[in-house]
Amino acid sequence: MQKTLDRLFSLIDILTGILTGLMVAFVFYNVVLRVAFNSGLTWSEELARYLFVFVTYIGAISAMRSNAHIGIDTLLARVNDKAKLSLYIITQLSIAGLMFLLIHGSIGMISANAAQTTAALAIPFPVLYSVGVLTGISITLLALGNIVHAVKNKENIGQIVKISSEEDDLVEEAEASAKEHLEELVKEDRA
Amino acid sequence: GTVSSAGDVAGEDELVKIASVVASNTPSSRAIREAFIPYIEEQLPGEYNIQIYDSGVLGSESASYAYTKTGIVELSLLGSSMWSETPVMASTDFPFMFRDVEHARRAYQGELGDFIAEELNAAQPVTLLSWLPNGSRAFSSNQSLETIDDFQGQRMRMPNNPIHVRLAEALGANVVIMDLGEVFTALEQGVADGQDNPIATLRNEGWYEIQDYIYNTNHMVASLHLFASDYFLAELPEDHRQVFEEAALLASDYAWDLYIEQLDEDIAFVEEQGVTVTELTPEDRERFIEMLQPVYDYLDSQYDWAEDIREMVDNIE
Amino acid sequence: MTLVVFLVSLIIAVMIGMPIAFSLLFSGVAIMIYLNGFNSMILSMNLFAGADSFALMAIPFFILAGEFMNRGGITQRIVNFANALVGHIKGGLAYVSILAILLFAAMIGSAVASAAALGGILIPMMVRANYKRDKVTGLIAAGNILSPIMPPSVPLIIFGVQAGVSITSLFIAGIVPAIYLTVILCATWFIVSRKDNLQTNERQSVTQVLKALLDGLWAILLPVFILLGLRSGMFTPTEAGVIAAVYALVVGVVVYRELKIRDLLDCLVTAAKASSVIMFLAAAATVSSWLLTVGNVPQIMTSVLEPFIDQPVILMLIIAVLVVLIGMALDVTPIIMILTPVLLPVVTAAGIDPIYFGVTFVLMCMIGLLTPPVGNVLNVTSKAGNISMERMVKAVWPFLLAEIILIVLIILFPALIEVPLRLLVGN
Ligand code: NA
Ligand code: NA
Repeated sequence: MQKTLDRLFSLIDILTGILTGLMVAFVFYNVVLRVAFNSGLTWSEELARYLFVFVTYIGAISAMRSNAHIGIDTLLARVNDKAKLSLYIITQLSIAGLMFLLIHGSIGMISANAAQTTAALAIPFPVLYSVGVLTGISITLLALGNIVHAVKNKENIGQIVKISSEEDDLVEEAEASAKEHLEELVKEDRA
Repeated sequence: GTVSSAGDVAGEDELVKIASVVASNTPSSRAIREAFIPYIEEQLPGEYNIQIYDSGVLGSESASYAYTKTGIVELSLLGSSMWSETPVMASTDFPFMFRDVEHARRAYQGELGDFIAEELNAAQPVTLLSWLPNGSRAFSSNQSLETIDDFQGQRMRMPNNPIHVRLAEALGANVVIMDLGEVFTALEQGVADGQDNPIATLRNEGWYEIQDYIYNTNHMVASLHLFASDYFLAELPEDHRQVFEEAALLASDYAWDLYIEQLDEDIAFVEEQGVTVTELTPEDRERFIEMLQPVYDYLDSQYDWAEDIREMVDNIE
Repeated sequence: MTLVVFLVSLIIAVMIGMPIAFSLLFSGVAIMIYLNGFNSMILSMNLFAGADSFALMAIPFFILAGEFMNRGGITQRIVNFANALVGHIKGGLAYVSILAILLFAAMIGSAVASAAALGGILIPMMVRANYKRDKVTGLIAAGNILSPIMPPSVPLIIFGVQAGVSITSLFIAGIVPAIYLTVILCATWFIVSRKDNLQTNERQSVTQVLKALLDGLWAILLPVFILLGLRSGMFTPTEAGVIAAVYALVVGVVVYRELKIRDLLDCLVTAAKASSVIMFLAAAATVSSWLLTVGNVPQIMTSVLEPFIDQPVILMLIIAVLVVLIGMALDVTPIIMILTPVLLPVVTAAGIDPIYFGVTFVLMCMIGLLTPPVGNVLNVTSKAGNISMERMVKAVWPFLLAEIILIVLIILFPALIEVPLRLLVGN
């Protein structure tokens, strides 16, 4: 189960990467057309913009999974395990509640704009707004899964509540690159 | 600077938000504040907590329109940004459609307004409650500008919009396109001789200091629309809905009165500053319409109803 | 009162460990309930509108450009380029580092990314040359806030979108404080290191210098080209971002041949992940910032600050204190998203130029990256310098103090920004 999910999420990450690549392609194509031929395409800008919305929403799901949304764990790190678990459950339930509102609101937007389409590509707005439903459901499931996981692994609660931010990756990167460069320099010295 | 007094919005009554894209001191925003809200509060005391948000702080024109359609703002006061969805709305930008500001008022409050509202209400989850004034355009220049022949060869700054550009070209002017923010410098440095905007803009932006002539053509009389979200209206009891509709019509009259009064004041002010203001004669208006034939041809090629609408407005007394 | 509801709900949510993005949604819901105007579509609609922006698309593009540069070998060549230029001066490696950070800053838009990419190269370089570890780590940490001041800049993009101000103008204006920052960092380094016995690099041969310059030229051309393109109005900041990304890709693959095609997807995924975290946060902040507007908070703020409207300097100093205090605990994106619409009306009423305000405000926000407990640049740099957080905080203070003095000077004398800016823009 865990492995299947890992694979699913690495596919989702690749998907957001590809969508970002498409954004680059569409916007770049438009710049070239405009600068070189003095003509632009409204559809490529529109498409790139909505891809951007999708990358943001889908990326938010992936960030929820890897606990990568920026947060502060200063207080959380200082309370005992029992309090940690309760606060964690409260937090995850609140997130699920907020995502329920996102789902509810997105469905409302879909029905209010059922017949409307975008200006350039005539994409139906319900298609675009459905990304809110998708994200809402996914994050709700992840939040509920987080609660189950935390209750089952009470002894590891300290580790579970830790927020793994983007900075952590960068910190690791910086540390590794510092070591690497120092080694190189030492080698040079010996030579 | 001046600061409007502001208080806490929270209250027992249902919050009703009005998104306005124009500034709080414009006749239309003032009409909401001074006529629309007081009337509802008087008729339905303690029912609604109505708040107006000016200057587009709740979102751009298109965002505010989208918010009205979903009902997250209950009402909005907007210009004509929703053309792509309701093409007839573009007719409010047709040149010399109205004989003067009073004629524009009668058309918007009458047959023309009803015609557009009907199209819009049927197609969109909003209801157009009433029409308010936005601004009537006049030409200004630092060169002599008293007859239609004076346009020949003058450099006129126009907004980046095909109808406006074609209009100035048809009059024989050389068109300079630039953003509104650059107009003052351009006029000052002689990059452009003149421009077209409501006289209130000329006054507020201080352009009268560097412009000597105004030709009060009223070639376009732009409007604002007071929309209500259908989601909001659907929840209103019938008698409350009626009060909102009455208030909207009241606000419309209030705003047009205020606008016309202010227009006269603005003209008196710029004349005092030494600007020569020339009113448009009926004969000159006929000549304008003749010269603008290319623009009307363009409009007819874009919209198959363009001619009918011009005729309809022309027949309004 | 709306503001109190917002702050209390936000602080509670953040303190119990809810990620800031969700905390902002949570406080948005709290305001809705307080205002007696609950509607789930306010949340979903503003979240969507917050992400649906052509201007903000510049963020993933510049992040991607930074990724390509790192993996494509541009970073190291910038260091070599700087070394060739100023390496021979006494204590020169520090000036090399500052220059390298400035050049790098002209290509990427985030301080944390800059700290991660450069800290790992510059600190070991100086430590090995017997520079004091704490001093150089402090210098590099403080130097990295150049990144979001010198264009391109993620914070300036976010401010521009929120304030409705030209991002191009903000970018061009950012060059001015970036140069001041460079100068005061050099000056501070000169003062703190004057008693240290620092070795001087042996002067490189002319051919060596020329080779490093030529090699780095490809990298240096990019910001020059982008700034000229923005300045002449040839392209928008978003388009500049896309051009930077494509350029860095081509130089990395074709010229330096360090970027392999298979790295491409990796870079894309990293950029997508990093930008979606920032963007989701910005979109969530749109929800609460819209509701703060509904609650009339900007007007209330304006009336509270009204006594200072005739004294723009005092007003700016108050804002600076406020921002630096909030910056101790909150990330840059939500600070800019929330405070911009709240502060802009009073700033405008006080007759303060929004471009000047934008760059000064972002500079204030950057201080927060260097202050505990939540100081992301401190965090990253301390690891690159291999010192503890406690030592890091001590090491950075002389430089941090210099930066705060710079901000105060810019507030006291707005002409410091406005006069050079007029020269740059031409009127
Ligand atoms: Na930068
Ligand atoms: Na901080």
